[in-house]
Amino acid sequence: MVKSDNIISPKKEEIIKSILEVLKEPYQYARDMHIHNEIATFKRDWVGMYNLRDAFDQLRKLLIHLFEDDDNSKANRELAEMEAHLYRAILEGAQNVTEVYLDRIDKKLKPRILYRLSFVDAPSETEITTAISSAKEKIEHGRNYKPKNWKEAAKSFKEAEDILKSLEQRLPSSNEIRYRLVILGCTIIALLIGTGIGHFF
Amino acid sequence: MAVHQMDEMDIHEIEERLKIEVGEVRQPLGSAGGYLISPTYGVENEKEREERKKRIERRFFSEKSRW
Repeated sequence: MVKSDNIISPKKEEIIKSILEVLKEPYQYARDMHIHNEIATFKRDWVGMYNLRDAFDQLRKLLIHLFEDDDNSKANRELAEMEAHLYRAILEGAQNVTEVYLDRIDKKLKPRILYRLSFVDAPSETEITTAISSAKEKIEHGRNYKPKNWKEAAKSFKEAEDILKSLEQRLPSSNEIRYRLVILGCTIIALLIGTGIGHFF
Repeated sequence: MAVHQMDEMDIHEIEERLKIEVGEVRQPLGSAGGYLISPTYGVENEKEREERKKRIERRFFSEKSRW
């Protein structure tokens, strides 16, 4: 709680309202994105954490400029900096999630012959290409919108994430393919041995 | 007051100057789910992150990419 006997001027009041606006939407979004990023990637989102820390640091300076130094223009500058850090936390996080999914898909994708040989239920070549192309378009759209419109950029990254997440879930795991191929190989060997023994007797 | 002076200030001094009363420390509401499982998360260093970024650029966004 800030205890101050100073009368708040209309200009100061305006700045305080702007602070509340920033804390209302961009901060909430940045915090949610930070948590989502960690849950989706299983890694600590230190880029988001640094940006949130820096945003908080700007808020500290802002309050000192506003109430201690009585310098509204400097306070406004700090507010803009704080907002920029929050946007960075949101968009870097959103982009990072899409990159992690792309990396997982890249590692999970196997030559089609393996899917056929192991009889796994895998998406077709066309489905994979369409999903990746569509996600790439969304990511590029998000990158382009980063400096212009953070909400639009975040929306595009989220759409790309949804596409990639769904594709990643549909791709069979390497273990499944491996076990199926081992079972298939064992069956073929057993059949060959059985046939050989049948011919011998 | 200059910014570098503020950077050098002790947190207690800032609290005193801003006349802030620090109450009980609370966990942010709504984050509980995320923080509960956070000890299981790994830590990715900057080099690994940069390498992944480059790998993604090369595999998916370069002109040679098959996608």
